[in-house]
Amino acid sequence: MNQPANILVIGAGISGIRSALDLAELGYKVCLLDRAPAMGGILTRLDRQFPNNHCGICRMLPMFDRDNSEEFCLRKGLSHENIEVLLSTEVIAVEGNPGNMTVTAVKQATGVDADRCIGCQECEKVCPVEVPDTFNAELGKRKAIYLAVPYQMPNQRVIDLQACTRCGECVKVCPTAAIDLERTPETLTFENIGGVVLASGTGLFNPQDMDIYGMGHFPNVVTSSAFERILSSSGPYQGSLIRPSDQHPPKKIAWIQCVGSRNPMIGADYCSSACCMISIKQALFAKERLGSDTQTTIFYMDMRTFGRDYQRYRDQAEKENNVAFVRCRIHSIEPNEEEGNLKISYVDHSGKPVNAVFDMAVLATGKDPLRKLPDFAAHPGIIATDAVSEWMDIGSSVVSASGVSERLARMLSSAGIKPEKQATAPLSDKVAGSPHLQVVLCSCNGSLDKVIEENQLAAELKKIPGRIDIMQAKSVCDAEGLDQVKEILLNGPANRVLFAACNAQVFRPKLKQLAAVTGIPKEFMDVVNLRGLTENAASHDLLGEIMNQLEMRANRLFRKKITPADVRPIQKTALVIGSGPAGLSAALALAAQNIKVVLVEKKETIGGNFANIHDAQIREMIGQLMDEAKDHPLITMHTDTEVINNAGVAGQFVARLRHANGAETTVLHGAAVIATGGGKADLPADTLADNKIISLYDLEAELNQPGIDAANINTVVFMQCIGSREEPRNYCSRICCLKSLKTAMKLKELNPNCDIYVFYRDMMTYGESEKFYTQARAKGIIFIPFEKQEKPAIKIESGRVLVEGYDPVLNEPVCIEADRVALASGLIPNPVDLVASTFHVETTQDGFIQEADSKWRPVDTGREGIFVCGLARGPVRADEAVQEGKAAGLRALRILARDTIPASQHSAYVRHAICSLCERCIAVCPFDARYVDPDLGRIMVDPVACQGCGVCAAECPNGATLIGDFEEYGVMDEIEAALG
Amino acid sequence: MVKSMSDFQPKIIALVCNWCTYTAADLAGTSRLSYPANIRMIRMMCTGMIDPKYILKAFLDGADGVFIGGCHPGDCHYINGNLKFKKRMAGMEAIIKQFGFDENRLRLRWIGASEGPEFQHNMTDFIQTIQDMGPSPAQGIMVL
Ligand code: FES
Repeated sequence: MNQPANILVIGAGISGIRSALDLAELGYKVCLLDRAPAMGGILTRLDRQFPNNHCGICRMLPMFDRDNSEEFCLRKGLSHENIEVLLSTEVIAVEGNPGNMTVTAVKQATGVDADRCIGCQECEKVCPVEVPDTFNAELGKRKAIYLAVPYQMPNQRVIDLQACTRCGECVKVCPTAAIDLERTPETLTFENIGGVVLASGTGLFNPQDMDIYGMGHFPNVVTSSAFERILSSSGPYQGSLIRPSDQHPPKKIAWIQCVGSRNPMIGADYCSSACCMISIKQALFAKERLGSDTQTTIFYMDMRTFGRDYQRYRDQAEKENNVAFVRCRIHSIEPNEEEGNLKISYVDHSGKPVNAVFDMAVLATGKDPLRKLPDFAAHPGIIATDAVSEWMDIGSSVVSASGVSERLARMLSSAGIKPEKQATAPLSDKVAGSPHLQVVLCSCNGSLDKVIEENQLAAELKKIPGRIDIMQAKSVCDAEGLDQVKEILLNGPANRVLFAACNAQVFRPKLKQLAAVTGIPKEFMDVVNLRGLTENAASHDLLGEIMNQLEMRANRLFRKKITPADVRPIQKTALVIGSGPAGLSAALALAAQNIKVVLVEKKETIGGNFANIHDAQIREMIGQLMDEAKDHPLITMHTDTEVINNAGVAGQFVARLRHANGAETTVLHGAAVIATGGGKADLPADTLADNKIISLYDLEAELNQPGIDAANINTVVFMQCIGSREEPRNYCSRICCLKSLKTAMKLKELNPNCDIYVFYRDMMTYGESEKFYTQARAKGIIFIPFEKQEKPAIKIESGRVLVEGYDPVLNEPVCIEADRVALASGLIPNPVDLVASTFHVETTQDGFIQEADSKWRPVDTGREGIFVCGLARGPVRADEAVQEGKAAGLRALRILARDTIPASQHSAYVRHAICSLCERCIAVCPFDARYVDPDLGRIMVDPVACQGCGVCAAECPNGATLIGDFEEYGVMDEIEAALG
Repeated sequence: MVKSMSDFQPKIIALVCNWCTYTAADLAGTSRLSYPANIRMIRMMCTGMIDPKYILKAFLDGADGVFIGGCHPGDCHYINGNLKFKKRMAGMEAIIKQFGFDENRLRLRWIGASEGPEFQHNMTDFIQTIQDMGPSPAQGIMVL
């Protein structure tokens, strides 16, 4: 196989896409495989994601050098110069060593030749085989020949060969002879592979066999992913929220949490981490769609709202939207007398058995316990993302995937494998000449012949003013057809090309190929969807329609100009602020790629909270990072130092450092990573003064003293969420539950007779840390839940420390005399005011640095070239901080690994002669991409930061600002043609 | 010849955002949700780049209606271009009124990328509105 790919990414879900994009942006050739016939994984089924209830996956697309990828909805497909996507393909064997691996894969026959299928749907109409629509959770039917994801682009069909009866009806009607039912799977061999990313996901639990829920027996019991499909306008009911049994809108909906998760009996001793938030989101959508009087109830054991902004999301759902939260494991779901309704029985807060009737129940399912990693997973050279072993939300998956990309890039560079420099075709001389348009009429393998001929398009086109040549091609999708076009462009006079063909999004990637060989930029090429126009039955005047479209685009092309491209050299030094696990990881990630790093630490020692950490594993991990960083020749450390100023644009920043002795240093750098960290929050001011009432951190320290004797520590009470998860610090600190568990277990080890009580609101042992919770309960540690408004009281009575609470299991008040009360006071960020104002980044209401997008761009800030990771961004465990550090390092590397950054064709530029320096554009630019150059007295545009949104051009009172690809005369002419 | 109301085929310019409405239109197309063909869609990267000139130009060139489709608030690919356009919208309505066009001929809607049916619905509805209003007076008031 002549694949130029030097990296394989297995799994084209969110993690795989992130990783593939990371590596492609570094210049590696990537092949992204998935065994499914469409990319996107679980994400294809989710239209909207918490916490903002929108989809923002397009924000993962490259932010600069944007010309490399299609700027289009990423849920529909991905097209990037360095990425090849191979679907229906499964890796079966891996051999060789990192740097030179051989990977064998099987490409399943889909029965349809993707190069020929034009998505016309004729086959689907005649296919006599109907099977349950698996994409839509089997809530509807689909044909045996179908579209794997209803909105995917390109929209080529595949055949479900298991269901297909080989009747051959589809073969008969296919206008392009794309169907071949006899095709057999193909074996592909990839040689010379540098490394492999394994991002195949964890699968989704199927609750079919769990009797208590009645899934499969009662139609109105659905999984949460089925509910997502019901909400979706591409779903089984076109987006109407109705229940399956009678297609009526439900009035009372129940969500049952932890179905198939947190259940050691079925091998699921883990938490799936994202389901709690998904259920809250779904409840909110149900209310939005069906009205606020819709009753929504979430049955849960612990609401795991452990993300930085998640607690407020939950509180809002509860208080403002009246979503009901009921803490219990339900007993069963049974049918109620009334048709389709469901009776859910459970034991309530006060121990009373309750039977409640609902119209519909949603089972919150997560990771599939049966899913096994492939045999080759442990092969050297394969790096797996965390999302293959844990279910996690999008933000964590993205961080983990970028962390893996970093490890892979490091592995490759130590094996001496560098991304190949891309040879871009020099601009053809013709381009500067006066516009000359080549129109290519593609007959799409003969299927459009009739349209083209009957309407005499060739003759009509001649009427468009301007120099126009016309050719007809059988199919530009074939290599032969494309070669024909190349030939004409290379040898003919034309310097602009307009295709009349099929869907533009499908077609556009081909323009890039053409551009590469002909030297005519792809911005000088365009596509009109002739097929789409022809199929639109509502059209009265087909010829008029077609000509109109062609003329609109032709006018745009005639107006195209080459935008002046500034090339900016990159200052190949990184500035990292903060030397905890996040900062050190970022620094090491960059240094490993030969980037000089200036590491600035405010304190006199590096390592962040290292001195206060007692967990042996974590200490070792951070210790190692500290040693590596200290010894690294490319890392320069400045302790006792702060950054007091930073100016410039990505790739070219100037920062000013101030050292403890007052001296100042200037650093030229290309990108900065903010990792200023955080630390333990103090106990609240009203904490009773007694040496038995201490912080969790202090108890941990006490127990870790060498030679500690715990014999007289006989009763210990842990209290969670001290000051956390309520205003003003309304976020989960993420580390305390696990820390309490570990400390409690340590205590049990030291003194097995010690009685331990943990008062908690929700145990936040997400992911694999659930196992500690299970173990702790097995060891006899007693867990007592409480609500925010009914906190246990701590009292001191004649020298005795008492904790008074209420035990819902015993259904009575409890009073415990404690030798120690450990208060989990949580985490707060270090003050970020100075760093935020220095680097012009936003902060959250809790004093963390605000990332660009918590899901899709978790370690970017709103300013290109400035990144954030670790505790500065939000509460994280140390191992998570390391991942974020790596991810941030990798994001910075996209900029720093280059020597120069070219301006994008889509960037804005200024015609200085007519600019009045009113600076309105600077005020409206959402990316801080504009500034006044005081020496030149001109408005400058930073092509790295500029995203080509065009707000500046629309606001400019003089028309002095233009956007390369949306230059105003072009648009005006297009409008004129449209109305002509 | 004056066309009768029933065969009045309004000319509509739709200036739509690449990331949302354009994608939704595409989705409507691929899911065979047909919508009236007399809509000329012009792809913009963001509603934020829609210059008031474009709208005025469209009306003066004889458009019977101008439809703007952008991302839902909070969803804009460029942070808040949609809201910046929304701000411009009020001024725009006033301007087109001065030129003698009914402000209802200009419509702004948020249509997300996955909302194919919403796109279809919005288009059909807008065309209906314009059809009810009759042809734009552009020809009569054309100024040079
Ligand atoms: S990107 Fe859609 S409106 Fe801004």
